[in-house]
Formats: sequence, structure tokens, C-alpha cells
Amino acid sequence: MKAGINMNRGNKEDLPPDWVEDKLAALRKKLEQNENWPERANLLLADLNQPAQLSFVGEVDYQMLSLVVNDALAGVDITAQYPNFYRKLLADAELRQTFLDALAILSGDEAEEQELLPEEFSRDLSFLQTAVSPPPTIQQPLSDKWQAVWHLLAEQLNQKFFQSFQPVYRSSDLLEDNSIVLLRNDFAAGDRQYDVILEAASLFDTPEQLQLTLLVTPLSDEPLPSMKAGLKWGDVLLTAVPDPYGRAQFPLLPLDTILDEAGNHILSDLHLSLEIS
Amino acid sequence: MSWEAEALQLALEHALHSLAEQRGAELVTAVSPIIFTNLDKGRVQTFLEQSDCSPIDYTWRVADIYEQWHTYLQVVQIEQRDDVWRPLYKKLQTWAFRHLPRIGYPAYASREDHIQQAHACAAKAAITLINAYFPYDVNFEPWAYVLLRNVTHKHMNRTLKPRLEAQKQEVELDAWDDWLQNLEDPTGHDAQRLVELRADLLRAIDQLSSEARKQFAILYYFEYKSFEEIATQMNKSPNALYKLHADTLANLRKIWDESRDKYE
Repeated sequence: MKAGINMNRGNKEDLPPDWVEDKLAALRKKLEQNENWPERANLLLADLNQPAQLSFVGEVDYQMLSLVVNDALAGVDITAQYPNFYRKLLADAELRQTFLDALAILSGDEAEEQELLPEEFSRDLSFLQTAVSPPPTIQQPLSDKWQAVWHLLAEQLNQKFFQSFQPVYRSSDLLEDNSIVLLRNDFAAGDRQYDVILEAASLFDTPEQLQLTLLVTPLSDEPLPSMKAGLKWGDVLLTAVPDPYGRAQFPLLPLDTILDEAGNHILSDLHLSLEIS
Repeated sequence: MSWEAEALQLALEHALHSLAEQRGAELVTAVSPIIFTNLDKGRVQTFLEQSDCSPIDYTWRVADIYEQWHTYLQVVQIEQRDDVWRPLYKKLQTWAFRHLPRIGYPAYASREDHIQQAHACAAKAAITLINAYFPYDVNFEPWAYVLLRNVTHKHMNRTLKPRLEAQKQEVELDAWDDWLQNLEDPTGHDAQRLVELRADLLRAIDQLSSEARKQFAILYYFEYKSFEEIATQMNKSPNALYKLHADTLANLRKIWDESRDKYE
């Protein structure tokens, strides 16, 4: 992805050697003659003249990272679009370096001294087979009273959870979104097509519990019919009703009902059902 | 700008209604769940608070990105087609290979090991990418890159124990928010003092340790140039300017604080 900013370095005009000296002299003269002082310079002065205050650069700032990088690459003036985030970039070396690294790698704006040779790339895509969501079993698929049921094996869930997500561990890493998609599928029932996503998220306030969210999207412009969803994981039974936008949040699931004592292994299969109500 | 939950929900509903009128109901049916899921996740609020955008801007942003990327995401995350995954996986490996040294992967390690670590990170990132929720308020590559970076960090923490900073740190942040209350009144009896301070500022800029920093300070603070204009004039990339700005500010603060110490 190339940077969106149109850089025309071929037509550059170098600043003349005495440019700084001349400009500063002009600014001093402006000051002596009591002329208007630029507002940005006023802000800079006020900023320097204040004692520094402590502030946190937190997860929210790292969550913003891909959004700001996205817009910077598209040529958006991020100093104007994201003034708060930009201030933090100026102040925090790690956040700034993360941002600069992202820009450099995504825009290819650096010397290519570190590159993999063609023969050094791995072509093994077998990992794709581990991430396939099973299709549902659909009862009465042609009627308007259908029911779709998904069955996720504990083994599949373990691969998802412990490959990419630690539900009981609140990472201080740069996680943009501490959640994973357990199931992603499209299916046809009752003469319509739907997209389904079941997502599991770890919550900061209740790390011992899992937030399970279902999203059902009709693949047409007709409104979503009334549905109900059921989830069985281990001995726990949960139900939820999708809202008009297809979102349904199940009640929080205690992790100790699905993990072993050490918290390293999911013990039970998961069953998800979706039906017209 | 900060929004109350109900007001934001309403604003987004209005924006979607407007989107439906202009771009069709089918698009709105597709993006509504995405927008409200992002709302549930706090992503919309974060975006609006940290940017200069409105709910209608956000809605249009998601709609545009959805139209651009949803077919690709379908192929990547659901169909998982080899012909799409091959170049994507290559890209993930390239990113991981380039990224590892930036987060402390030792320079003395062999190229073979470096490649192996890049493969491992890319494979993990690929699985994570398939299982991750794509928010459609950002283009695919920045999102995928940040995801890969997170995976690479985890990999480094768990397997190679590099010198990374793993904790949140309190950082000195210049106090922008309070300056309005404390800025000396230029029309009052402190006008003379303000002139002196401004002269001190010009002196401090003159003492910056490089010509580039002086040029940047003048172009940005006094001539109101945009980053794009400064990049052209100084023959630098925007990436380099972000760093230059931070370095200039840090340098200026050091000079300023030292000059205050002399006076006290």
C-alpha cells in the first residue's frame, strides 16, 4: 500500500542557506513593531511556559493506531484530524516509534536492505485448514421455521483460543481488540442467506468471564426476521435475542466452567443454535 | 468530541437513514450491524473522541471501506482461498521479517533463525487474522499490520525475551489543555512580559541543534504550513516529519527549561 501523499520531490526548491536567519530577523522585527503574532506560535509559547504534566498513554491510544496509520497513509493531515492522538505521539517515544514503523513498512518508504529472498518465503498454507468454521446443520431449511445448529469441537476451540488469545490474561501488549471470532459462516435457510459471526471477548473489568456476542446479518436488504439464539458450552446454557441490527449479547460466561483447572485447556464442545422465533 | 451513549446511538441511526437515502438500503443493511457492533466495543466513541469527525463521517467511512473491502474479507476469512492467501501470506512474512529487528530481535542472530521467526510470526498472524473481527473503519493493510505487530510482540515476549518495555509508562505530556486559562493576557499589563517571552522563543528556536529543526519550527509554527507543504519544501517524507516535529519540540523544551533555570 503506497502512501497517499503526493510527494513531488523532483520539483523541490531547497531553502536558501540564510533562510532561517532571514526569517528569524523578520519575526524579531514583527515583534518590535507589535504586529500580529501567529496563533500556533502563541500555543507553542504557552505550552513551553507551562510546567509539564503527567499523562498516560494507554490502550485506547494503541487502539487508535491502525486508524491513524490508515489516514496518514491516505494523505490525511493527522495533526488536524487527530489532534489529541498527535500530541501523544509527540510526547511518547514508544507510541511514536510504533507509528513510524507502521508508516515505514506499509508505505515501503525505506531502504529495502531487509528483504526475504524469493526462495526464503514459506508457501505452506496448511494453517488455513485449522481455521475453517464448520457449516451448520439446518432443520426444515426450506420452511420459515428453520433452525440452524453449529457444533464447535473443543479441539478447534483450543486452537483458536490458545493460538491467538489468552482469555484470562489481560495483555499489556498492543492488542487492538482483545477478542476472537469463534465462528464465521454464511448459510441459506428459509429462502434467504445470512452471515453469522460468534465472537468471544475478554473484558478488562471481569477477566474471569467471557463476553460472547452473536452477529447475524441478512445478505439482502430485507429486514432481519425475529430470531432467538441459544448457546451450550459445557454445562452452561445461555440464550439471547438478536436486535433489529442482528446483534445479540449472551450473558457473561464464567471461564472456569469451560477451562481446566490450570486455565490452559478448553474442556467442552460448543453448540450454537439460531432459529426463527 | 465526547458523546452520550443514547445521543450517539440516535446520531448513528440518523446517519444510517441518510446513507440509505443516498446509497441504498442494501448497503445500510450490511453496515448497520458493523457500526453498532463497533459502538458496543467502544470503537466509535474512541474514534469520535480522538478525531475531528462526526457520527455521519464515521458512518460514511464504514460504508466506503465496506464497499471496498468486504469481498476481499469474505475471501480471506471465510472462503480462505489459496490464490488470495498466497500473496497475503508473503506480505505477512515480509512485514514480520522487517518488524522483528525493530522490537529487539538481536542483530547477532543468524539469518536462518530470523527467517524462521518471521515464518512463525506470520503463520500465527494469519490464524489470528482469520479469527479476528474486522471493524471496517480502517483499510485492510493497516489493520492487518497492527495485528501482525501484536502477534510478533507476543511471540518475542514468549520465545525470545527481548528488551521490550511491557508496562504502561507515565510520560511527560506538555499541558495543552490548561493553557487557555493560564495564557498571559496580551492586552493587559503583562503585554511587555509577553513580548519578552516571544523574543525568548525566537532565541530558543535559533539555538535548536539542527538547521532542519529550525526550518520546521518556523514553517509549522510561524508560517502555518501543512505537513504536506513542509514535506515538499524540506524534501522530507511525512514519516520523517513526524519524527522531526517530536525531536524539535523536545529540543525546544530543553533549551527553554535551561533558559528559565538561568533566570531563576
